[in-house]
Amino acid sequence: MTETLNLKAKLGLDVFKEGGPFHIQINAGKQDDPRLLTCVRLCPAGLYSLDEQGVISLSQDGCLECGTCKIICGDELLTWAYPEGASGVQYRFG
Amino acid sequence: MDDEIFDALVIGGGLAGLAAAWTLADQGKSVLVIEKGDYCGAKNVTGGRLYVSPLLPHLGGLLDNAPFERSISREELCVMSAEGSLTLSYTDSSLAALPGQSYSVCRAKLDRYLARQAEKSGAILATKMRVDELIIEDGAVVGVRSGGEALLARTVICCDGVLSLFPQQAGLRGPLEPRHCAVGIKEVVELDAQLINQRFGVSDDQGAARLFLGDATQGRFGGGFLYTNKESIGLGLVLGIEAFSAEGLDLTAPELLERFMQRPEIAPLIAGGQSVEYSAHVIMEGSFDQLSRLYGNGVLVAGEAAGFSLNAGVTVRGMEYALMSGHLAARAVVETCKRDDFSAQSLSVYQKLLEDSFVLKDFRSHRSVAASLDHERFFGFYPGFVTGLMHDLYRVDGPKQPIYPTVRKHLKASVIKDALFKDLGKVRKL
Repeated sequence: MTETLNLKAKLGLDVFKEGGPFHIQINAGKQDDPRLLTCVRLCPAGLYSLDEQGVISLSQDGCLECGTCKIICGDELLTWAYPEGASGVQYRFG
Repeated sequence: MDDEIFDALVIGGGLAGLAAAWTLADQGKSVLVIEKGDYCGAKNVTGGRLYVSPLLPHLGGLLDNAPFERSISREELCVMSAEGSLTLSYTDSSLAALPGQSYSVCRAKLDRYLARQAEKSGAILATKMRVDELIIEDGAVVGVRSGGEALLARTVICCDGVLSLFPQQAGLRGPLEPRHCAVGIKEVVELDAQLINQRFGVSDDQGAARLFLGDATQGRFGGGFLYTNKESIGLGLVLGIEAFSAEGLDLTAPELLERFMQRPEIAPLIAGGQSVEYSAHVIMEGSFDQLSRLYGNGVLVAGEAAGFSLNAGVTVRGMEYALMSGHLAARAVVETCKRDDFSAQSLSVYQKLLEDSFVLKDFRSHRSVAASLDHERFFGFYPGFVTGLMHDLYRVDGPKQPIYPTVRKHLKASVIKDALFKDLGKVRKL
């Protein structure tokens, strides 16, 4: 078996380039919408997390730009755009 | 670039966009491709394999020397329950013959090659640039805005991928719905070519494709996949977004992938390998009825942006539809340039070309398949039934029933009779 990698280590395999403001925002007043709980479960990069107070937060490191959260939440909950040119994930295999 | 009005401006340098650009440039049309990644393929993910055969009559010149990985000579299906699995492996002389009908591919390599071919033909490629919005005047798309700059074109071909942001801005489609989408997560594991040959029983140029059904997704809509590349294995899961939105799930998507990779069916295949990339990509699991409108005034839609991905049960396809629709979008633009009319009515020739090709023929013939596949019994109940039957056939630990009574016992159980009765109609739609 290949050494079991945790998610952070897996994301560490990828090339990410910085640039521009983060491209996903949870819209104001929507932080406790239950649809965000589905993002906690399904985001492949684990960017959505639920703290002990039940508040969902969005981390900025390691977004794979797949759009799963955009599809779950729609434009009402999230402001979602692709990162600026030449930033974000750059796959070497794909 | 400021003053030029291009015959076509292509948003996105993936398979659809590059096939369009190559075709247009080859026909002497001016074409600009805008790609936000550092290079073409930088933002793309495939399972994945490309079915080359239907494309060669149209795009042979583009694909003849493309850097494919392995010709898929073994088609395998693994049905899993929590305790066991049944794997079917099919090969025949035509699958084993070279050139093959389908090849595993790595997009970062393939797309860069196609980009070079498009540039050689005369297309202009602008990487590291993001299109911010379409420029729409009097109901017609006339160009795009990128980084504050306006770029004008007679036609804009939206090849911006599955999220389809620009067809939405053009009013050609509504937002994507969770019930029509899945998320694919994938890991690439580097492994010595000889080890791949031995583990999958293939030669240097040949490879295997294996799909997994059942416990790979804990019985919910989706499945697992594994493709052999030259010196790596790409494997992962596809999870139906609506199915995994339901209550009662304790594992996250990355945890499900980890659990999948540790299954006894998988772990020995990747043992000794090194993970080198982790990726994710949304997949449309819709059908003909979820396709975008394909053209408007000054605008065409190709590839995943149009919804061109098709899950037909044992084959899951997208990339050849991307290449072919991009190619046909380009041919439509060439036609409309002749009459200097870029209205929706003039561009409707694109729809006609698609209808006459394998693209819309496949989507029409598979119209009811997606709805039939979307059934939890196919992902949970039947895999358990199959492995339960296999368990009883092979288990020896006392007096044993012959084969027929064992099979009959399983088939007579009222749950299976009930399920088969209900699902017969669905199966006929596959």
